[in-house]
Amino acid sequence: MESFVQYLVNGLAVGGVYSLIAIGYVVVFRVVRIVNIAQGDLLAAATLVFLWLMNAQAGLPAAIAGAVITALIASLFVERIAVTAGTAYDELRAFLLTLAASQLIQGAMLLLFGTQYLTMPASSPPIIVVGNIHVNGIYLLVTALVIVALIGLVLFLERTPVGWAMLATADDPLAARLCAVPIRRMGILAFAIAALVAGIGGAAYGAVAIGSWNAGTTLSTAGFAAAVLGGMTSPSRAAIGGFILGILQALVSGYMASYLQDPLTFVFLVVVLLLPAVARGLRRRRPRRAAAVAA
Amino acid sequence: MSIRRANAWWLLALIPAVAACIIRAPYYLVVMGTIGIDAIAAVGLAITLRKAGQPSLAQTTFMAIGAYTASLLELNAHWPLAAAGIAGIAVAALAAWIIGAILLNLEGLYFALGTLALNAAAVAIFRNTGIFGNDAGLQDLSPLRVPGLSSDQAPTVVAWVLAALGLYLAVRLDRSRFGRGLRMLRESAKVTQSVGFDPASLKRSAFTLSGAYAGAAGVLLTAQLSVVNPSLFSLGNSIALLAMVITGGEALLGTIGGAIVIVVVHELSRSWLQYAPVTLAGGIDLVVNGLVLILILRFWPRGLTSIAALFSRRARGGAATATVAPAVLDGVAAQDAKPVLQARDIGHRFGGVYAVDGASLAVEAGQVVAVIGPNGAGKTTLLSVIGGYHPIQRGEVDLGGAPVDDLPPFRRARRGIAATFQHMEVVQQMTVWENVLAAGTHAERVEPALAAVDLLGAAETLVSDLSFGQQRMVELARVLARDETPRVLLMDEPASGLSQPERAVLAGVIRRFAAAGTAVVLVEHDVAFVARIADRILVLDHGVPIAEGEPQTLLREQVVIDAYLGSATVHA
Repeated sequence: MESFVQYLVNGLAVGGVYSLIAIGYVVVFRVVRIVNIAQGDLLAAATLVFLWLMNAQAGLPAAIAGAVITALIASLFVERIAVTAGTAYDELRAFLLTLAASQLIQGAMLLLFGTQYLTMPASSPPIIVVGNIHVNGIYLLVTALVIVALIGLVLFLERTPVGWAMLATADDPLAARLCAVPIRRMGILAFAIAALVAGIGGAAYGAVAIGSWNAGTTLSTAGFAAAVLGGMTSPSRAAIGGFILGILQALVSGYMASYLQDPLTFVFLVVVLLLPAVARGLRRRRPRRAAAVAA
Repeated sequence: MSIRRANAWWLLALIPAVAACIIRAPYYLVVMGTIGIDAIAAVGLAITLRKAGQPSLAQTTFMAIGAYTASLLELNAHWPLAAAGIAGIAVAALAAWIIGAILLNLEGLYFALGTLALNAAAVAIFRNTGIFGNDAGLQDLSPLRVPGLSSDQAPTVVAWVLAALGLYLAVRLDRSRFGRGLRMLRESAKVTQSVGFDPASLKRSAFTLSGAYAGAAGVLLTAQLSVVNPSLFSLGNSIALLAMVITGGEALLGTIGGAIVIVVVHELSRSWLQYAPVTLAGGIDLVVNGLVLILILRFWPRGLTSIAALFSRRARGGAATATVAPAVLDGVAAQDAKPVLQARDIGHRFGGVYAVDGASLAVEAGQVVAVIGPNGAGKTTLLSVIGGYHPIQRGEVDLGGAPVDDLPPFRRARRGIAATFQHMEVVQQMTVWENVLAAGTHAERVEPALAAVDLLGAAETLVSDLSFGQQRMVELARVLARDETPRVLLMDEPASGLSQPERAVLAGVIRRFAAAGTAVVLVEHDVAFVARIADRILVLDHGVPIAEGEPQTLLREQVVIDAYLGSATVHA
């Protein structure tokens, strides 16, 4: 029971990070119709910078600021590369451009930080005891942080004029432009929001996991799987998808082996992607004619 | 008129093989060998990416499957290298076949993301499973030996001989019916089905083949390095292969050029930065791959192929030299059932709206039945249901007395339902000749079919260079060139956008089909055209049949005039 609760708490914290990546995908996809595979790399870069600053004794506020600024620079770089006149009509080409950007970010991280793994500087974590169950308070703190960020984002998108304008751009770029919504600026804003989320997520991830130059691939796939569960358009459903995947992964790592996380993400992604097709196939099935005649 | 020229460009890939027999410097031999191995994997990737339109990011995963299979057989079962290698290729192809069955249900970038996740999953498994030697991999594999060549030369020479062979096979395949099917599929699944190809099986075959190429590359890599470990098969290396294909552009020879460019730039950038720690080499490769992909995708989408195009200009619309007799259609085999095509009580709705509601149609051999009606009457939907492009919801479709409503479009096409489409479906990036040949297997039928629609002189022209009307004629020729004269021909607004002379050609072709015994269903807005050519007319309005009969009487009926011109007549 105790280990189960611990796995669940781990899963919530990591799942929360996946939720943030998934929301990054959703916001960018809704506004510019691009699947930005570099989303996980933004977060991985932010994690590395956060941990590097923490280990350099820069203090928590400076480390978080460093993470957000890193993600912001990287995200606006991806925007410059991937959003062009042509890519609006060719989603695969835009995707490949973000993939190229993700390789550049990973390469830059490898050149800057090398192949070393970074972790939080050693300190005794606050342990919360409930009955006979011990839980690391950092994980709960991270989960709480993620939920606050998520609620803030949903409120921003759904309750403010700027948020409305962004969603309007997503639904119909031409109509939005006719209503004087600056759509290019909305695209940049989307990438900036994705970066903010990735920066916060990077700090959260650094607090509970290991930072490495190539963590981005795993994070991107996991976040995408969560976003697909939300239909690529719903921030809240994407967030739920992130938590589900995070908890599943924590349980699989805990009870089986931690290296099965990536295989699990693959299975989860394929199931989520193919589910609609399977459902459609079932609905389409109709009684064969022979049966219909007999009836 | 010899339209197809033998193309021997693939022989260029043998030059490095010959050069490697002479060169002695180990560094150059290793770099050349790496290029050859990557070229094999990249040509495999080009088949599934460029030809079938499926962007795989798991090419190194199938390399790994080939490499680990061969290495394990060699180390544990002591198989000779050649046998182990062939087994490795076979297992890689089998793995691609199985995985393709699942992942090929995804399209475009979703397929790319599925293969990306597959790559990450496979690397995690290889790195953490004892039988694969964990992170360290498998070592002390026996090197490849060829009599008369040094141990550095042997893998390089073999890699390039196999690269040339692989290129030759891929080029031959591209020219085959299968290859034309793949290129059609990349542009339109609909047209691919309409000429009888099964899109799922095409994609799966291409993916399996690309898996076999990857397997061969993986086996060669172990033979070159004498070790195999997970870092060789990372996502970054898959993306490097993708960068090679994209740098190469459409032509397969370009892919080999792409492999040369990427590997050489990797080597140069590493040597420029030689004072940097060795561990950073991987970072430099990633930056190079990213930069090359961005530069090509943003500024040079046609890649190296655009250079090759300067040297071998295709004849664009050259003058017709030979005189070829226009196509004569074989008669359709005698039909047992009276109406060849019978559609009963077809109902089809999109969401809550019925596009077709209770339409029935019976067409006899040699008869031309026109379906007319105002916009949104459900004419196109009715044709789509008969052709199978919309899965049937209500009603029945019989072809020659046998039900076909559960069959996918390509099976109906194989049973003799041909189609031309409202939003003209021709493959823009294939020549006229290739477009028409894709309809069947008999090359000798193509020229008469082109002659029948006045396109003989444009046989070698890319369809994208033709006028709209000419493109419609290509669609028509594609039906004319089928192996067997279709039993049913579904035509959706074939006259729209045609000039008067082109309309005359169209009318002639339709009459020719009717004379050969084809049952023609014609959806058309041009009522005068319909009146001239149709034996019977069915009028639809809001999905419901409102009148049916012979042209002369039917077109005078008030209900038809109301539907077309509106019933509320304003009196001044």
